[in-house]
Amino acid sequence: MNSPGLVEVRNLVFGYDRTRLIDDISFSVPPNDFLVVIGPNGGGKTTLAKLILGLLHPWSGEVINHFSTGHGRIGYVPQFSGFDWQFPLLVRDVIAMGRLALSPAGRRFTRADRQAVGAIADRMQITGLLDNFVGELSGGELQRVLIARALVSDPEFLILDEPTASISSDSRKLLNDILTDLNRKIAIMMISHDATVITSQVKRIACVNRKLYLHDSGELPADSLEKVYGCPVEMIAHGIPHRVLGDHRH
Amino acid sequence: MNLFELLQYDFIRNALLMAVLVSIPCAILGTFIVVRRLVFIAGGLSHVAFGGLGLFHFLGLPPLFGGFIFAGLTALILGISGRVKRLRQDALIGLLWSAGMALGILFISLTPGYAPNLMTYLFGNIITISIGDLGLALGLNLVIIIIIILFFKEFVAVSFDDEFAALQGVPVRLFMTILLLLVSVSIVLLIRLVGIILVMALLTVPPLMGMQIARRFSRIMTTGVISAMVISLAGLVLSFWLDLPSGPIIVVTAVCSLGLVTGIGAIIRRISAASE
Repeated sequence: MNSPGLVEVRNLVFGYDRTRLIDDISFSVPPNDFLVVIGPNGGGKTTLAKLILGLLHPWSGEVINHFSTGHGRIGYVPQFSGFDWQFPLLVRDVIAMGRLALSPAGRRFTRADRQAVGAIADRMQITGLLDNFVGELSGGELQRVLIARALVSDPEFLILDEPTASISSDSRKLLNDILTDLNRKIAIMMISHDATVITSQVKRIACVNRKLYLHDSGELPADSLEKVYGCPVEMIAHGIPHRVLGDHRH
Repeated sequence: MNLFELLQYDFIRNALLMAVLVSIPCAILGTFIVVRRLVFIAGGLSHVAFGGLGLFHFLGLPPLFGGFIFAGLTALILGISGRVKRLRQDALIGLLWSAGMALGILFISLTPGYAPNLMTYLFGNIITISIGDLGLALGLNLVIIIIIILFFKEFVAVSFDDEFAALQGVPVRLFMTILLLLVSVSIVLLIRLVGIILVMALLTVPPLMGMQIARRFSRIMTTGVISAMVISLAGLVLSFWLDLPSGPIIVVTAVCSLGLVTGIGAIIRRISAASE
């Protein structure tokens, strides 16, 4: 193996009830990685992310972090469809939750916290929305609020779960620009069930379906899709950009 | 009789003071209950409380303490096991709900002699509120207010997105357990005023009214507190005047006020939409 990465995943095994959903997965995330994780629904992508985040505990195996500090150093952008967006919070309230690790319990948020929220909102181009209620926002705007919440704690590694699902193509382009910019400083792992999200700045692709198949380039050999999905023809019909498929050798 | 004549009676003054005091925790915790969709769990806790009430009544101990012990233990188990999230539609709550009622009724029936207290606990009884009760309610109010103000951002974070809060190092189960314990305290306080069956109206109507008037979490709470005070005081006064049971009158007042405020809100929104 190469030098220790930012995050190292070693022989992870996990499942619900008795069924294995994650079966002996090992890989490491180097600093400045841009890893896209694809795979079928129910294949274990989100579960893998939650294991890395420590929200779930593996049956066996381990996740080792080499961050410079402790809590809050992995930013997490969950699927926004899972939220109750009628919750009576302003955009600034939601983003401030990313400062909880830095703000001791029993104390209010400080001016420094509020400034950090303002600065990150500026970067996500949602400054004008700070005093809106989250229930009033579009999908793309909510996505940027969740990214701002993850980034406001200044993480070294950002995990996004299906960030491009149900947002407009304009928002998608903006999101791509934001992620490209972020990737200059921090590592990114982006989950997607939709292989068409793969953009030019992606450095590596992993297919997760119980096992993990890692491809150390932004290109994906056709046979690995076959292994993961079981049907390459169908994948092409779903519209994979051709360059992702790489060289076909028959 | 007019209001000033009524106020000469100690028990009426105590009842009105009690109404003001219980309004505070019921609106504060009611906001969390409504926004976090814990209404069913709160209902379960209040009915479990009835089991403890019955047991302590049977043993000749102060019944409300029994109610708090039963509801508090249930809150502790639900909170620590971290099952709150899944329990929203869970059958277990329905089970606790009926079991608590059944136990309560059985214990009260087993108690020798006449059992007038059954109706008292189910629908509230404001006649017997003592200065001691008021002191206890005041103390519990202070505890609830201090805890909620101190950890407000943590409670909101845990309610909105417990996974993210956990990532930020917030002890999610601890805060959820504390929240449910505070809900249990509020329920037991409310039982004194309106009884078990009617508790849910006072936990849900004030925050719902708050939502009609305000939109931000903290403002919904404060508006809810004022709404709860107005509702319970108006309900009590109405019940004295009409000589009808206070619990049901308070609940009817609450529901009518909510309907009124919602209607006015809808009209205002329509007018402001039309004028744009």
